[in-house]
Amino acid sequence: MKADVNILRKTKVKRRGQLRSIWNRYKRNKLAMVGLFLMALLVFFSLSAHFIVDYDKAIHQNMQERFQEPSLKHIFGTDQYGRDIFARIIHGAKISIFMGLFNVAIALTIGSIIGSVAGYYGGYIDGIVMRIMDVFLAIPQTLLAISIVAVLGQGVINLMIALIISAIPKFARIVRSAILTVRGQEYIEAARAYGTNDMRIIFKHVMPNAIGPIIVQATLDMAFAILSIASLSFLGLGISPPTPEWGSMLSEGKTYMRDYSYLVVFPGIAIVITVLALNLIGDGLRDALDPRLRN
Amino acid sequence: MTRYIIKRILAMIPVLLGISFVIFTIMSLTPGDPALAILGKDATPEALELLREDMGLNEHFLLRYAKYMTNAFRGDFGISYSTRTPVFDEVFSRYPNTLKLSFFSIIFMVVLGIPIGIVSAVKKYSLIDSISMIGALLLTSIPGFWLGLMLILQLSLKYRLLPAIGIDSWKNYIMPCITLGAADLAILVRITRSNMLEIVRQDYIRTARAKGAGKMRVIFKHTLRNAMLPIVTTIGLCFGSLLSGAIIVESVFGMPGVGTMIINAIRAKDTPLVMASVLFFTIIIGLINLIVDIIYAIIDPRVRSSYGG
Repeated sequence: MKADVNILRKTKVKRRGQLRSIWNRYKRNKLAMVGLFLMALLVFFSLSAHFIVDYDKAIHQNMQERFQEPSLKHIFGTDQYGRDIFARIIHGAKISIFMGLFNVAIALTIGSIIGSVAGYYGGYIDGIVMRIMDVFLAIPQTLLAISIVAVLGQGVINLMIALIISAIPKFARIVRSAILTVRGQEYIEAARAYGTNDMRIIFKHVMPNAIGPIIVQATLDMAFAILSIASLSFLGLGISPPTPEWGSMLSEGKTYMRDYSYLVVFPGIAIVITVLALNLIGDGLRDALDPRLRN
Repeated sequence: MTRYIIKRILAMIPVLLGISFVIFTIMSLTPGDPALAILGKDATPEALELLREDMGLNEHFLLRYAKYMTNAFRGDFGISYSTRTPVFDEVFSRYPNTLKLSFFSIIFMVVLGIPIGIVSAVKKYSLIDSISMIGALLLTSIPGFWLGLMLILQLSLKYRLLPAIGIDSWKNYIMPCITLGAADLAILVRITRSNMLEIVRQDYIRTARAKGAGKMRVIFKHTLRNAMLPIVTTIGLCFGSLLSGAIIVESVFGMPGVGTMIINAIRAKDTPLVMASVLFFTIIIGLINLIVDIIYAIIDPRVRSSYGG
């Protein structure tokens, strides 16, 4: 019993040591830290959106104040319905970030289950499952998402379903290959010899050791999801007005951009900053998790 | 080699069957009556029933799918609900525009991307390298449609240098190509740079230098040639993302391509048109992947010998 506790304590120390060294490597990467800072700022804005500016300002029409150029009262100006663009962007951050996060979380969960089952069992199951995934991977992700929205119809939920389905194959493939690399390791064999059941081996022993590339992919995919939500909403296939979504703001602003260019400038910058932050974090994590890949 | 190509083309068939089956299934399961879509709300129930019977909508789902696919192999993709013309003609009148746009974007991307990547690698950690790396990072984070809007804002509305919409002259293609190629240009620069740096470390480059080969010769003949394989893969993969990016870029610049057609077809719930355009994209992407693999064999003798050709 005492020996057990000692071993436990030791593994805990080791894990913390690993995390610390990853963090140390991450910290040294200035661009990655910029990304983390930007993301922290965005998360802060989206969590406190209701305290910073009233949601009503973002959706309530006020025709007397339409097309106000950026000023102290409306720092990013107002749109064709007199809605405050700053308020719309701040509340839009909430939508983009949480939809992106939700999308990745679900896609990652489903993809992990599919990929780990295929990778762990191998053989026929692997063959069939991965061929099905290959069919989906044959189409570029954006096109796949657009096609799924095409068949399901427009709307927020359909957009989410489309983005999740189009992201699953990628996660399944990454999880599968990560699992294949650890499957043959001796500690997995030891766990099996010890009589541990398959699910426990997959989630307790295999996954934690294969998590690196999966986290990196998840971060980059969240950037992609946010970009896709904006793109599809811009095309009128996603979130529709008056909900303050960046892509649909751009789509609305496009009509008036000849005279009021600020309508299309600010929402775009918001998208660029968010996607850039996630890309920087993703790249930084990749370098920190696997220093060998760095060049 | 010929055997390999035939094998690859045959391997595309299950992919196409799979995709068409998935789309067909979802489209059949979602609510909405094609007969109603064609005849409109004012149609009598008898007329609707007659058309349903005529279109075979009352038959079993699997039978309908089999019929659709056999007709599709003969080039008959049905009649568009919205324009009432054969879908095949509709897609083929528009696809040259989309292919032209993607092709020019690839050229833009290759002509700029590979040289910038090479210069970045040769002058590693210099000012040029830092600028191009930060530029590449920014370009991957800028949504294509927004870049397009910004270009229109500056080059069309403000300085009136280029036309904003249409496809009347070559000038119409400049902004769309930049917009479409930008993100992939950034990827190409990064891939070229990192692969050049990877190869430069190899022993045979040192040998080439030791034997007195000139700097240019080492860069182009020894390093670039060997770094080319992943670069070609990237270009091939980019074609896929370019085609889907084209959907967005075409709508920004009002170009009559397959992309705008898909969007309009989705809005009009024009099932045959959606189906055919998605299949069209899949076929093109499959063929491009095949071409990329053939180019591999041409530039890399090791790959060629593994095909026994």
